[in-house]
Amino acid sequence: MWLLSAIISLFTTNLIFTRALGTSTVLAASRNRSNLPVLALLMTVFSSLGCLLTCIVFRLFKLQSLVEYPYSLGLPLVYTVIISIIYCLVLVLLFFVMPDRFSGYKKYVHLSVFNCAVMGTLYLAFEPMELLENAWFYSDRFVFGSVYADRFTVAGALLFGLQEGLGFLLAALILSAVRERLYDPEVPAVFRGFPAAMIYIGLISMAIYAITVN
Amino acid sequence: MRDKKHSLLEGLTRKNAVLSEGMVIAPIVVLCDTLPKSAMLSLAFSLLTFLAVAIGSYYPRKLPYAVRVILYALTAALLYIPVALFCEFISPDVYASLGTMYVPGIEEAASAAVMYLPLLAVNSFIVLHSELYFYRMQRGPMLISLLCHCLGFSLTACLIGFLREILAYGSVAGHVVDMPLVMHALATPWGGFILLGILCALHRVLFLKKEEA
Repeated sequence: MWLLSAIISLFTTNLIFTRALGTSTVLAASRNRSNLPVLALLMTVFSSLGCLLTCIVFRLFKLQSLVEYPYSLGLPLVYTVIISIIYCLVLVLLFFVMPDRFSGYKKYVHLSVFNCAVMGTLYLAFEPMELLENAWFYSDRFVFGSVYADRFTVAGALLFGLQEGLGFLLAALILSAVRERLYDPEVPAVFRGFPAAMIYIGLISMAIYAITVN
Repeated sequence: MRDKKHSLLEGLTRKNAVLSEGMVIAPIVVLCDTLPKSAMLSLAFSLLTFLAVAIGSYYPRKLPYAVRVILYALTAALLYIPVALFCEFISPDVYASLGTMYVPGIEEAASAAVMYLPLLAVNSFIVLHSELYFYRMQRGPMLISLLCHCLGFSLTACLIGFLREILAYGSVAGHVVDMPLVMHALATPWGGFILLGILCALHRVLFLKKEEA
């Protein structure tokens, strides 16, 4: 049952379809199916490690109050430093583990590091507690009910980052499945490509909202 | 000369950041459901992006790409603090409303969208487009082009905010307009996606040549 609701929540709390976060990155990822697994894996790594490291930093230095206003104004700086550390670690690791593929893969690392999806995941993972009580998605509360009780747990943070990364992969797969049709010559020229993709994402988003909103 | 001047102004029209390049979509889709919110978002985006890209142009090109990108993001994150305080100073109510988003059933979901303004610190203009486009130009033309891109974003955001407010709430900047029919769905994120798709198509009709479209 837990696994089923976790799978459903990949749709119902999807960053792209419910929050529009990382839309331009997912459009870039869906351009080439061979790029997709690498980019989605990197997004998952960045969001999971980002949540994990943020949780450790918050707990270690007792910075939980940073999520409250006015300290929250400094959050972009904290999150940027954390993501930068992971960015450097991933690049160094890639260089030493796969030196022959480093030049080919580093462009994906650059593309997947600083974007709304990764940064947005950190924001969502460490929202102030009173916001969580207003969470409007049933599944959000259902799946992570126990984690929401204390979002600053290492397991909770890692799980949340992993879920958002997998949600990105799912959205990219859904988009890449119809990409050829969105660019089909039979689609009117003015709607072909990007405009059609926006309307398509809108329709999927509408369907997800219809089943999840209270 | 005329072509050069024309290409600098393309950010306003042909190469509009949102409608043509598909950049900075999330805040447009979620936040721009009223004109005042759109105007505030435009102000924050323009200030943050212009200053961050302008300051970033002074960083040495000898630094590795990864270090430069980190520096751009850190600069923008630092600049976000005074920019957010300035926006709050100008209009505290509109600034506070940027944290809300429309969700069917509960109308305004309080504080559900607080992250969209800080996320401007990692917008693709600052961390990606700056390297690929702006920093390949000389500083003077770069600043003019950057200004045009920021203006292009602001005009698009305000147009979308205006259309969504009048069609979804039947008002303009909070003033009720006599509309025979309102479509609340347009204020939702998926309404934003669909409207954005339609406006992208209109933009192509207006600014792109037939063969390019």
